[in-house]
Amino acid sequence: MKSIILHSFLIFILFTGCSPEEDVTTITFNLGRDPTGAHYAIIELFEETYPDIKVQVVESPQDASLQHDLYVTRFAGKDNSIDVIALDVIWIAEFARAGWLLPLDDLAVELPMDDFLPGPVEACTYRDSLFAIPWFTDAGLLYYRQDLLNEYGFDEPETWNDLQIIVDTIRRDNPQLSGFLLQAEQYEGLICNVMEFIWSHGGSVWDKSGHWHTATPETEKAIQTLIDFIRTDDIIPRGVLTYQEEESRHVFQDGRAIFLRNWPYVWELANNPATGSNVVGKVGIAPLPGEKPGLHAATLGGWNLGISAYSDHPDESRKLISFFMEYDHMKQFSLDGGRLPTRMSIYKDPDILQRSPHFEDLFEVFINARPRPVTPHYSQISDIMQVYIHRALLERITVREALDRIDGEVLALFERYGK
Amino acid sequence: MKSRSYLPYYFIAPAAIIIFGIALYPILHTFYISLHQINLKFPDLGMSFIWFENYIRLFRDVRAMSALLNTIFFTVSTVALELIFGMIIALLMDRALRFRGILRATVLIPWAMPTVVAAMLWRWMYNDQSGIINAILVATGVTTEYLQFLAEPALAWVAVIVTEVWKTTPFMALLLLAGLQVIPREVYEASAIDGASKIRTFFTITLPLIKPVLLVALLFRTLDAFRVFDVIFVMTGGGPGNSTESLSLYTYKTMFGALDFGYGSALSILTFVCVILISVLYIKFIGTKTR
Repeated sequence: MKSIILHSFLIFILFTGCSPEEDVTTITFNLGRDPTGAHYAIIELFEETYPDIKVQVVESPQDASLQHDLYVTRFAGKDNSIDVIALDVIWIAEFARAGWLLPLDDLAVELPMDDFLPGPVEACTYRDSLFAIPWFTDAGLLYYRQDLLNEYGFDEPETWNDLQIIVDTIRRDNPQLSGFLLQAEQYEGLICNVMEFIWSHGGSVWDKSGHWHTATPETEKAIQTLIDFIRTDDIIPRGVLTYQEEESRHVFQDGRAIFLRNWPYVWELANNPATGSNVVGKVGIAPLPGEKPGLHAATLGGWNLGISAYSDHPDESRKLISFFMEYDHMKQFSLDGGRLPTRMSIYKDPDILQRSPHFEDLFEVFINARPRPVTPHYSQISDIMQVYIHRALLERITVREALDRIDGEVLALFERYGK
Repeated sequence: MKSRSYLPYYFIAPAAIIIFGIALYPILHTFYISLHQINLKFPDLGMSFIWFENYIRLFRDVRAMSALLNTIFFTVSTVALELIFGMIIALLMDRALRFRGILRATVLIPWAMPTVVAAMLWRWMYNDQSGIINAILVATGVTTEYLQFLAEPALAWVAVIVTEVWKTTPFMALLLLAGLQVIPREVYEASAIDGASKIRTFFTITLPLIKPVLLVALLFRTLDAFRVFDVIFVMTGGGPGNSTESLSLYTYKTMFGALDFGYGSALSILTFVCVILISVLYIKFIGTKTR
């Protein structure tokens, strides 16, 4: 008897409980693992606002290049299980060229695109169409030991020369300290760091008429400065040739370095005693120095939301992207996750400034951050640059030789597939 | 009568189909792709048949050739070291009477660890500021300054090879131990009665008798080392200055980074041909020596 009641109850649930599900559309939201999990709150709100859409979050590894390879395999197989996808700034031209992303120009009409930071929008644009909407941004910054600079009476460095003088002076009394840490292993981060050196010396990789050209005096000088810092002057410890973000953060956080170039995420970790940081409250943050005063440069990072061309639910996906881009939602997302919003008006929001007072000073950095070359060839160009620049940093070849080789191989690439 | 002669073929057909499906077909398909220009990034350019152009490009590609040399260097040096250390450990384990079980289990630990985890561990141990290896070297006075292991091509090679040897010597040792244990004890007794020295016994009795096992172990390890990817990918990413890039790593970067599947397939076929050559050489060697 009991079992009959139980069964009829279960059958009742089966028929009543599940029937509304039939008109619910489920879309997937694909992104790399985000330890803060700040997107879940927004998705919950979205599902409340649109009861007929359910969002399934599909997380992939945190490592961006692993995500890239994963998505490539799925797109190549025309997998329709990807709807909304979080894209690294450097993938967009490549995925758009391959025809894997839907153009979102119609969405751009609805959204206040003028309020978005120019760098990320540029990175999301391929052949005059927008293929993703900037979600949150990232830019290279200079972290410094405020306590040490105060002790020696220095202001934050405006030029690379200032930085060199500060390091020389402080290291004279503290030879155990490293001067300036950055990321120069043979990997993607090397290119982010090198582009900052190139731009802050007035160089670039494309010339004014849109031709690829790195072998210019400015670029040569920029990389030579980096080499001199590593070798002759001992400004940068040689170990950075094996460093990625986390290695350099750990050394800086342990209190064993004066300067660090890294992304904004370091700010909260370095100031949180729970991470074992020895420099809580002793860290300053500034734009990266330039060759001349005012010639600051920052490489743009960050993530953007796009829609797979193989998605069966493009309309629902558009709704989710618009929802994430609304002022209140983007604001909440950056408050919860400590992310840098892509809408400029949010940087003036009192709640945001209360949580992250440094945003006010750094707004200039974020608005001026520049994307790495926006081209479908980017991943291959980056690979070529990594090889030759790393070799130049090891002083196996001269800077000139490295740049000539890079130009030669990149041009051969364009010749094979078109630009 | 005639129909009966076909019977054996029916019996081996399922096995043949499975082998064709999972081993031969992918290789043939890769070869087919390698004769084309195809890049997933440019679907509109399609897939054009270009004969052996990818192979011509391959032999002119300095990076591919140095990846091949790197792979050969890595294979020869790791397999040689694994053979020496594996043999020493196997001889010790063969002698040890007490704690034999514990000893064997302990020796196997590095082999049981996932390579990526082991490589990550070693990467931090080699760290220039907080790595334990530098701490030990300085504490024991071997060096006065901390070394940047993964930043210098020669040291990076040492680092990668040490990791690989640490990781795979147990496999070699266990295979050799199996070989040692089937040698009849009487042979050793006879040589002892004849007054042969330990070294003489090793070279004239032990070595010839375990040769078949030894060659099989070497074959396995050589093929495995030739496909090296994970240790290098995690520890150096092919650096510094691309000096440790292996053939598999370059293939991976070409296929999944550049999405150049045509050229990437040609690189895969190069690896395949090398592996086949190694196998043929070994098998010939094993065949003649055991006869």
